[in-house]
Amino acid sequence: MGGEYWNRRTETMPRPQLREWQWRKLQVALQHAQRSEFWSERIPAGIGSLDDYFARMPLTYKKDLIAAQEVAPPYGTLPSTDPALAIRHHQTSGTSGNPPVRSFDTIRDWTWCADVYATALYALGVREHHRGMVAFGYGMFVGFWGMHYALERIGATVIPAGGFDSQARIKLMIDQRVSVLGCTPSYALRLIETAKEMGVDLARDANVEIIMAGGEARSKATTQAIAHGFGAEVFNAAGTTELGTTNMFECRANRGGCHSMESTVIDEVLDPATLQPVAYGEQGVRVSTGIGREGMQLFRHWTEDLVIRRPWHECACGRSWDWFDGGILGRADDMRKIRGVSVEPVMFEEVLRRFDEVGEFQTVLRTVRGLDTVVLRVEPADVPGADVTTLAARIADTVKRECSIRPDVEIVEPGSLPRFELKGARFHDER
Amino acid sequence: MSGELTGPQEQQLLECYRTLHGLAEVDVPAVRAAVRRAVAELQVALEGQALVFEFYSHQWDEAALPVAA
Repeated sequence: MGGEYWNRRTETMPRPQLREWQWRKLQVALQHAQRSEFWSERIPAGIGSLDDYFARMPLTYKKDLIAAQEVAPPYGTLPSTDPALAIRHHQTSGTSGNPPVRSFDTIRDWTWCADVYATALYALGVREHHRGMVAFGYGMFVGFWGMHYALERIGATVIPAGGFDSQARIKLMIDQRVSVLGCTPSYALRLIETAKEMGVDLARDANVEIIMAGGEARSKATTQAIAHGFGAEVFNAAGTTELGTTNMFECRANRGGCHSMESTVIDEVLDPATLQPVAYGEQGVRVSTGIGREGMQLFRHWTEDLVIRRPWHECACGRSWDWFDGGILGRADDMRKIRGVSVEPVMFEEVLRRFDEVGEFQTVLRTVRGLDTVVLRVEPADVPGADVTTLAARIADTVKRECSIRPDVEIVEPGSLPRFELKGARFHDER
Repeated sequence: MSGELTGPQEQQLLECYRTLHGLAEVDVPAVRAAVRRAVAELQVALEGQALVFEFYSHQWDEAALPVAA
């Protein structure tokens, strides 16, 4: 399937030219970074090629960024331009429990951020005639701000719903014939649940065609539940506050695959144990270098995102950008070994979302009688005729069969588990 | 529609960018703000076409606002 492109030239550039363009941009970025106290101390002298950069530039971890900003809050030694040139401030959501990473954008950077986001939305099929709603609180989390501005940039109409609760958003969505929705997968499920409580069938009563559900790793079952609930196409995209905007999006020609936006980010995939590159098709941690922002730069950022990279030519859309099979598969810092089994929270989500009787859930790791134990706290949904008395046993059996570990399943009161507008925090290690 | 720029269109875009860059430090706040936003827009267009890539905002305040130690 041939695609329509926001920028045909940089999206379909032959691979050798793309690498050369990346290298040219990286050289500009490295030179500019000499203005930053933090980066100027880390960048080795005389980097002569991309391979040389990968070999000698140290990895940057979140703790490095946080330590640098704490030297002199809010931004510390990180900025490469004076923060007085900023027109916006954003920071990470803090769902991991760490202090937030703070970031700012100059006029140039924010224009770039919106344009990169527009590249993704255009690829998903968003056009001038669409009416978009970005369902988030319009707070400091950058992700959906970018979508708001990208919708405007494309020429779509944006219906702002920042101060609305879920019921009001659903009414607005229907009244305003919203056709494009942006939110986290967690919040999309929350909207479906709220609509049911209101007696609204979103697939029948609303007009949503395209949902950009980003900001979280999600299971296929979650994506299917959202698509079914809205009667819409659901697309994945992801970015980081540290990079400033979205940097991967799901392609219409290759559902489930997310292109790395390689004209604006240089990606590596490394083995978390050896820190060496893995081959196409092998899982590793995504390490990203931003080649787009002047104020807050980023070099070889260890994202913790687990990905499997596939070569560009395996996607039929015509872009020369490599892609990640399944998008972000999980987070390296969420991986745990429980009784000899490697587990990730998304494994349990994949099972739980297939039970219609499951409304909300939490995955908790506890020590029970000296043993590491997976506890699934499950809130039953209001499904007519459902047999809740056997639900715990059925879930435990299915998880054991599919994940090779038997969990303790606790059925909790309906409405007792938290709901999320931004990133869901359903995983808790209490050991 | 996902076409390509012609050679003359590329040249026009580059000329606009250079002209506006020269106006980015004018003394009229309203004009300065408009020009700087327009420079940013053109820069993004040029970058998307792989024609120009540069960082520049620091130039506008460099003398008054030094950054790195």
